[in-house]
Amino acid sequence: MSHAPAAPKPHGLVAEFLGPGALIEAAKKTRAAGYKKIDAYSPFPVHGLAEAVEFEDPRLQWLIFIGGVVGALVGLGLQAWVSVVDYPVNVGGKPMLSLPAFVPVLFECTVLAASFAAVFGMLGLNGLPRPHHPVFSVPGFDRASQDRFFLVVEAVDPQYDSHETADFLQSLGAESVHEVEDEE
Amino acid sequence: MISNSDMRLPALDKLIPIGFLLGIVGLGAWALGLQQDKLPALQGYFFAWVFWLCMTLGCFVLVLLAHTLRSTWGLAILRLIESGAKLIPVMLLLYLPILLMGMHDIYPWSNPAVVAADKVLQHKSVYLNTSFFLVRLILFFGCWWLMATVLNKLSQKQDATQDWDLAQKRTNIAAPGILFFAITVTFGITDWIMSTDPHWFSTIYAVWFVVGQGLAVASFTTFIITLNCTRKPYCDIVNPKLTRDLGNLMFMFTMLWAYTSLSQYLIIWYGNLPEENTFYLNHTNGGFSAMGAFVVIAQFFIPFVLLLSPKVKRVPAMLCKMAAWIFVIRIIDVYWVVMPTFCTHGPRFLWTDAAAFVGVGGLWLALFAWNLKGKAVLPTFDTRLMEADHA
Repeated sequence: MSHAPAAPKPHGLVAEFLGPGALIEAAKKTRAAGYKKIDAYSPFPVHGLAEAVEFEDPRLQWLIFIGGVVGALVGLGLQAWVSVVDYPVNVGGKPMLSLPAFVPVLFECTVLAASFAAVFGMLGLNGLPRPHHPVFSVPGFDRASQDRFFLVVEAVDPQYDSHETADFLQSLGAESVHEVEDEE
Repeated sequence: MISNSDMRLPALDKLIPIGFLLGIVGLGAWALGLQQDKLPALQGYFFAWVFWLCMTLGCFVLVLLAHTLRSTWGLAILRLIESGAKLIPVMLLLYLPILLMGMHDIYPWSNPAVVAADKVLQHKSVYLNTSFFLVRLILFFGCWWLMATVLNKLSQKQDATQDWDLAQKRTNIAAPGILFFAITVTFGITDWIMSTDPHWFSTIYAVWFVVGQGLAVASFTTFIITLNCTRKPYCDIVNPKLTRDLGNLMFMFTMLWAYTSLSQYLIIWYGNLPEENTFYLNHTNGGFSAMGAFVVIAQFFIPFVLLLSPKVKRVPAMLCKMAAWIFVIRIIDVYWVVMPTFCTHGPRFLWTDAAAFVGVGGLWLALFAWNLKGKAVLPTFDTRLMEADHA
């Protein structure tokens, strides 16, 4: 970042709505108006909201899948190496490389690695932990975890215009519209 | 208010004449085969009976589950599984040919001559004897029939009266009913299917079967709903959330099936004791080995990987193909479990086996559709399904 005292860059416009239905309606209309960089905040998971903001990010599911595959291979490899190479023990005359016996541990390793990939991948892709976010400066934004619903149009959207977009959000029936600034 | 005529699925009516025709032709042909060669015909009929019994009991156990959980996926399939559960007495009637003509052929322990020469069976005869077997049979079918009838009445009544106390009443019956069913079906499956090989035993066998029943019925109902997803009334309720639920239901049963299959195999394989491992020796004779491997791949690995994908669970046409696949593999799996006890040289391709399967199946499907003729295929008392789209 440059040290010049540049004018603060806007992060985006935050519109407040009273209910989940209003939020979904607004999100759909905002998408329909051509905005692409939008985000939504709600106190509880709202069915259909991810579809309404057209949130699409297949990265996490692939991360989980890769995590599962890696877990399976590591679990299988560990057992095979231990029972065939490192510490072979003859159990009931069974072959050293006895796949059925490996399945339970293989399964557990798959689940463990896949869940680690899910939790830490989710945190990583969301940029969490993150103690502060520009939208927190909206007055009353703490109610996003209680009873209010927020739609954000980010300034990086090519169609973004402080005045026009604010008017547009206002026309969707927003309770209030605030522009928030990006912070260093 | 939703009118009742919108809730019908006339497309299902086509199953009635087709099913009855297949039933008559199939069972007629099978009867001819029975005259020629009694033993293999009876064995083929037994396989057909087991598969469609599994469908019936699968419907029944999902009814119990749906009334206990009161979930939206349960509502979507409720009328379909109720219709299947109504066929419990029909399956008892369809058991008669085996009881009357083939008791000794299918169940060696019922033959005094066999028991006289077999020390193990003599000890088991306290439990495995024909009269006690029949008492249990009548008792189990009677109790299940009664429960299914009461639950169906109460849920039909709620459609008419909109009385929400009835939902609680059904839960009060269904929740302990699951426990009752779990205990009785364990004895039932042991009696009717496991005892075809009376020396062998496995405590997870009935669980394995019930999970398979759930899988078969989940795929069967998912197939009906997704196949008709553009028709009324399903076009109003099929959305990504419902198809994801149905897909996850099949996914869960697929994993549970693999879990129980492996549990049984692993323990027997590890112990490698002569009184236990006969099952897997029988079931890997000749072509049965390849057939078993195929079932593992086709009923676990393929659906497991495909049902992981969110897309398969979102697009009804893809989920429909997945459900059809699982259903067909279920037939092969039941064949693989039931038949090796009778034909020890590998899978056989007998026209009487096919005729019996088509006959019993045709009859089952016809009666299944008959139960729904002119009736709503979705319950109207709970509007969550309709609202899910607009929430």
